Amino acid sequence: MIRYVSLALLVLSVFALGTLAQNPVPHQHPMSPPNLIDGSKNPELVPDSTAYRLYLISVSIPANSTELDRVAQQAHLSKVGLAVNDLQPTITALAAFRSQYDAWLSRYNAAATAQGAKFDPTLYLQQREDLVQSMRDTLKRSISAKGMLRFDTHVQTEKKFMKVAVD
Amino acid sequence: MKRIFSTIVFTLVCSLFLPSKCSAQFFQNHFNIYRTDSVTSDGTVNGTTVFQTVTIDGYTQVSTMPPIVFHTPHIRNQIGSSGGWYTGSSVCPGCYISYSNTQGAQPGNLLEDDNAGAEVVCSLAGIFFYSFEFLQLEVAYTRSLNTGVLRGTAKCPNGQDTCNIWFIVSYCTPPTSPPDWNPSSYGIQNTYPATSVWYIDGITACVRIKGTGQAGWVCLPSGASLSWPQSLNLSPANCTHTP
Repeated sequence: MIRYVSLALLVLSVFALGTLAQNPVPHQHPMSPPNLIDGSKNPELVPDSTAYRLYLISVSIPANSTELDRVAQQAHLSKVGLAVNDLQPTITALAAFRSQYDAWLSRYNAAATAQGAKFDPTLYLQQREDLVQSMRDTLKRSISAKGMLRFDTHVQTEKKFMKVAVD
Repeated sequence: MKRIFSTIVFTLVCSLFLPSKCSAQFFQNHFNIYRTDSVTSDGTVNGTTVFQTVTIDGYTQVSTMPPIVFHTPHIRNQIGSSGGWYTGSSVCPGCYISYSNTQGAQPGNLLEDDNAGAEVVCSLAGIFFYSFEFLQLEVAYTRSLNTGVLRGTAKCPNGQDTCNIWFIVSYCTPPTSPPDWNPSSYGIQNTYPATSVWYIDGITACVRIKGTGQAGWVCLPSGASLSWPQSLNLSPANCTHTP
């Protein structure tokens, strides 16, 4: 009897897998889960480190970037209002950050895959925080004080377009 | 084997009868979403391109999952008739997801419906995280008037010249006031006296969450502009005003 039940459930699960692997379509559910901080309503609740991380990931471009990526990066960075002398060092720092972030991501996922449910992300999450802080320090050293102030002001402003998890 | 079996059974029963509780039971989500818009323009609507990047970054903690299960991020990044759904790489349930998508579009209309957000789908339990916004995007035109009051000076964007930053006010017809985009200052090389840059016609891109009315417009701080001398005696213009 147990075998029949197992078989039925296995068939059900295969159907479930098949259905859920379809391309997504617009969904009829609430817009966001309730446990997300909505930066458009409470930007002060969005931590600086999270805001910086999201901004840096979004405006940095991968090594195999397309022309669209590069033009979009210029457009996004133009909103910061950096002087020409500050722009190139910022792009260079962003490229280095992206490369380090991608490497960190690979390490995280290799460990999570190998350890399964026993995986403890604490150490990796601290490394992620360190990476963002290191990028901020690099920027401070690479661009003018005025440029850094503008960069920071811009990231603070962008919090209103972020939705972040309550950690 | 028993563990995998019981996980599958529990997940299926849970998904079928208590989907919201099921998500809360299995997934401790730590996902963050960010949408950012920018614009490049040569000063005309046809020469304006809007870029929108949507990013999802984070992870979920799951108590137990069979090894055959994977999680896949999907991003919705639509500007008017451009863009759509984009799918990132499938990863293990405890893996970290960091996925961005950028779209560039030349707005076909001055007002476009826009839809942005992301979701993560579990191959066994379905969608367990989502966050979407229904937006409207427009290319906004505003005529401004130079007050002749200097706000200050700053290095021009070319890094060499010095620019005067003038206080400006909108100069629109009564039915189109206040404009959706209301810039407060205008920077130009200090070789130009205020009277030679008295009227400023500017365009930029603005976004709002659908249903928030005129007060909901958030505009990019700087756009493309043309300026005209005071001697032209221009009239207030029909600025972009979308309630």
